[in-house]
Amino acid sequence: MSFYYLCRALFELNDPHRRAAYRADRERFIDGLEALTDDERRILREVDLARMHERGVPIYLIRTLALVHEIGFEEVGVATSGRSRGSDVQPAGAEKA
Amino acid sequence: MSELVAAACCSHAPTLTRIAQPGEGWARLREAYEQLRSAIRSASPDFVVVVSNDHFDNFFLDAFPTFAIGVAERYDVADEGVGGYWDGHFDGNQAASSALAGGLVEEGFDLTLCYGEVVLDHAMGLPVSLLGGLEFPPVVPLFVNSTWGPQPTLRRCWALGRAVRWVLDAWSGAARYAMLATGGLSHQLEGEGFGQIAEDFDRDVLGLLERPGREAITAWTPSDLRRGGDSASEVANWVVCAGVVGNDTTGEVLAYEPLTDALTGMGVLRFDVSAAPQRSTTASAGVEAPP
Repeated sequence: MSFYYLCRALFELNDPHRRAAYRADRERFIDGLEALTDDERRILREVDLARMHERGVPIYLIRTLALVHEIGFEEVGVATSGRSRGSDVQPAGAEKA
Repeated sequence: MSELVAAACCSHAPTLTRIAQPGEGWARLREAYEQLRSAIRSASPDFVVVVSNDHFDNFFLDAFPTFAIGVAERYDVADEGVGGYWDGHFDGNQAASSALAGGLVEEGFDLTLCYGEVVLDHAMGLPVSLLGGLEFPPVVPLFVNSTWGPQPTLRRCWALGRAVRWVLDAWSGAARYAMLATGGLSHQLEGEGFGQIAEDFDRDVLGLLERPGREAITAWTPSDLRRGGDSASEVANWVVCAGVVGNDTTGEVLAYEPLTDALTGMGVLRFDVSAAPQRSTTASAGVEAPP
C-alpha cells in the first residue's frame, strides 16, 4: 500500500502549495509522509528516478518530480534506462538542438 | 441536428517546448499546425470535442476512468509541476457536454462525468496554443485512458467515436462541431528503448487512418501498439476521432516528423468530413443501429 503513498506524494507536487512546501523544507515534507517505508523515503530524498522506475511508478509522476528539480527528459531517460541516450535513438530526419 | 464540420488528429508532446534550436522538421510541423488552425477557423465550429488523455493531472490511482467527459463552463490549465504549459484557459460548452454525456450513456458508454475543477494538461494546452490559443472555440474535453493500463481496446475506442457521431449529429442544439484528437505517435519516455522513435509504426498508423476503411486499425492489439513505445498507446485517442469520421472518407497527412529532440514521432492528420455516413450502414463494433 505504501507504493500508493509514494505515487501520491509525487502527484501532490502538481499542487503549487504542496510544491512550495516541498521546496521550502524537503526533509520536513518527506518526514510528514508517514505511510512510506524507509526505502521510499530514501528514494524521495535522493530523487532516485531509477528506483522509482523499478518500483513501477508511472512515468508521468516521475516526470513531475523531475520537473520540480529541473531534471530534463533526457536525464530521466538515462536514469531509468541505465544507459546513455545516443546509444539507442534512431536517427530520424533529426532536429538537432 | 448538428453537423461535423472538421476533424483532425495531432501530436501533443510537451517536449516540443524544449527544442532549443528548431530545425526544418519543426518548421514543417509548425506549418501543418498552421494549416489545421486555418481549417478549423474556416469551418467555424461552435465547439470542438477534444479527445486526449490525462497524464495524472486530474485522475490518480484512486480513480482512473476509462472514459470521462468534462461538463464545465471553463477549464484551467493543469500545473504539471511547472505552472502549466500554456498561459491561458479553455472555455467549455456545457450544453454540448451535457448532451454528449447523456447521449453516450444512452448508447452504452458509461462515462465518468467531471463537473468540477477539471484541469486540462499539455495534451490539450499544447495543441490548442498552436491552433489559436484563446481564439480556439469552446471545448468539450473527452478523456480516454491511454495513459495507464488496462486501457480500452481500439475497437472500443472506435465504437465510442461512432457513438459520439450519432449523438452529436442528432443533437437538437443545431451546432457546428469539430473533432480534435491529440497524442502519439511513437514515443518511449523511460526505461528500455528510451527516446526511440518508430517510424515504421508511425507510418503504419497514418497510412491506415488516412484511407477509407480505417476501422482496420481496430484489429491492433496492445502488443501492436507497443511497437511504437509505451506511450504510443495514445493512438487510441486518434482512433476515437477516426470512429467519428467513419470508414468512408479520405484523410490527409499534413505532416509527419520524427522529432528526436521532442522524443516523439509527430503527426498531423486532417480528415475530409464532407461525406456523412449513415448510421444504419456503418454502425459497428458494439454500437447498435437504431430500430
